Amino acid sequence: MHLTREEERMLSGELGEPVARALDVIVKVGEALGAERLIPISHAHVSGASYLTIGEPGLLFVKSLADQGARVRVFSTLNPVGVDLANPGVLDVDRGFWEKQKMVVESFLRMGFQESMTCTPYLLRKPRPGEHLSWGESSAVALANTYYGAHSNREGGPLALMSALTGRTYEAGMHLEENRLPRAQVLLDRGIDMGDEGMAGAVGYLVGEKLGSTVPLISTRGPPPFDAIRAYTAAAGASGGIAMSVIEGVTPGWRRLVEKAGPLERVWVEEREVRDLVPGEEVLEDVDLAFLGCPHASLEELEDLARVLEECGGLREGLSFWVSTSRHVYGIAREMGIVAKLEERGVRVIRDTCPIVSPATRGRFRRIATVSGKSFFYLPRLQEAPSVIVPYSLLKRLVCAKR
Amino acid sequence: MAREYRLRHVAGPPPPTGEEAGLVVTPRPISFLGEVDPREGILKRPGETQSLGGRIVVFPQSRGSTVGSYVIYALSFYKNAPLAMVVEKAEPLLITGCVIGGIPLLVFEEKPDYGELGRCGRAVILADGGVYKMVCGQG
Repeated sequence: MHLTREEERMLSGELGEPVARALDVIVKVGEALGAERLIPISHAHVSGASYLTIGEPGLLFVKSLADQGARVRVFSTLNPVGVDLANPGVLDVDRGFWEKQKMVVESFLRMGFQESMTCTPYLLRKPRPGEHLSWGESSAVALANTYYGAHSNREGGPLALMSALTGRTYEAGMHLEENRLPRAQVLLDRGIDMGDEGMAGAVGYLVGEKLGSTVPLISTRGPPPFDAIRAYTAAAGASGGIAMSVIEGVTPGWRRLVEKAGPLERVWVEEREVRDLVPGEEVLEDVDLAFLGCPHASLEELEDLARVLEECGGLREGLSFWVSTSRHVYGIAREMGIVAKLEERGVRVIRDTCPIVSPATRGRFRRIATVSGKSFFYLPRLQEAPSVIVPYSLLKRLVCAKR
Repeated sequence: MAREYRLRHVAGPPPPTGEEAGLVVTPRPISFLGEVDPREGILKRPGETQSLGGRIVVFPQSRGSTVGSYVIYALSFYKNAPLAMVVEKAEPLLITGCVIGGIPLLVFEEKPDYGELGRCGRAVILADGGVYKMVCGQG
């Protein structure tokens, strides 16, 4: 691999041991993927910040870098953690976990990370088309490539951390246009409404299962709304390894990418398959937790939920409702009075974390209803929590006192 | 006659050669986050529980969360590292996990037959002048 003078200096240890170690890892990963050089990045986003998912090995890995004086060299943000740091009482988490989680966060902050604790870094700093990023968090990566037209691989959490410390990533995969061309065309049955977050998430789940890690071309009748695109890309990145989709009318430069790709293999997503994942009202009887905010809820989602609950007289008896969002969006929603409205109606608004990466979820619920295809994939796997995807339209029916 | 699979070494240390080991074969992509318990060293999902430590683990590719790299690293931390991982496609998160966890990662040169490999039970990786091959063990 060809390295610049500055990169050679980094590797030699002139800029400190952590930088040398970080660059060494990036070079090794890049060589495995056939990269010929490194490229500068403008934003690193690290996944693996919850003590629940990285455990003691992850804590020691991160802490040892901070102890050696590692510092970020670019704008760097942090994924959700396992607790609400701003409001400790909102989730029931034991003290031992708290202490460990605080050590993880403190290590990242010492290195100069933003106190973001969110899986939606694009809402903090909007990626520009063609810009190079080194992001972990599969849902954010897929949105950066698909919606913003920026370039990022699905970097493992540690690699994104190494990029934060060096300001570099390797030039391979999604950083090269030839790998951004669609390789299969996904055709959707007429009855599938990509405008509904729940349905879009179910489609993402199926596309991830069917296509693994290809770049799919998605043709829809009119561009889906932003939050539905987020639901789709998040689910496809969980059930599969999809780093990018080309969505007609949405992805920057989609016409050029489709033209360059030439004829494509066709893959159908049938309405029946979506229906199997997204059941009707009959299975909602034993749902005792409804959940919105995977990826972290946007301001529009919070506003919409507050309006729905206002119209329908609040939550029905016996149902808990958790919403998770970033402290950034929370701050804006609080100013607008939306947080107060949600809390008055019995909704628990959580910052910095979510039910997937927090220990507060496990063993507490009979069945969780989520609009998120990504949560549907992880809740049973990480929290042993039976869960069901509901269409956004049905979620409203499910949660209201007056139906 | 035992079939040979040609392999390319892509990341992590070179694989130990000539050492027969248990073979774990799964035809489904693995989400290390959620499907692997690093402390116990097992792959666990509906209808499937397999121990990974000290074995040659064969699967098509990784999927799911990018936190998976830390789970792979944790396998090594808890002394449950596979002897080697052999895949069809090496994704960045898998490569990173193998680099920091010190686990040999190899890629099949041609599409493997999971059914046939599944009947192997044990296998050995051999070096043949810079290239590697995996051969079914005696079982």
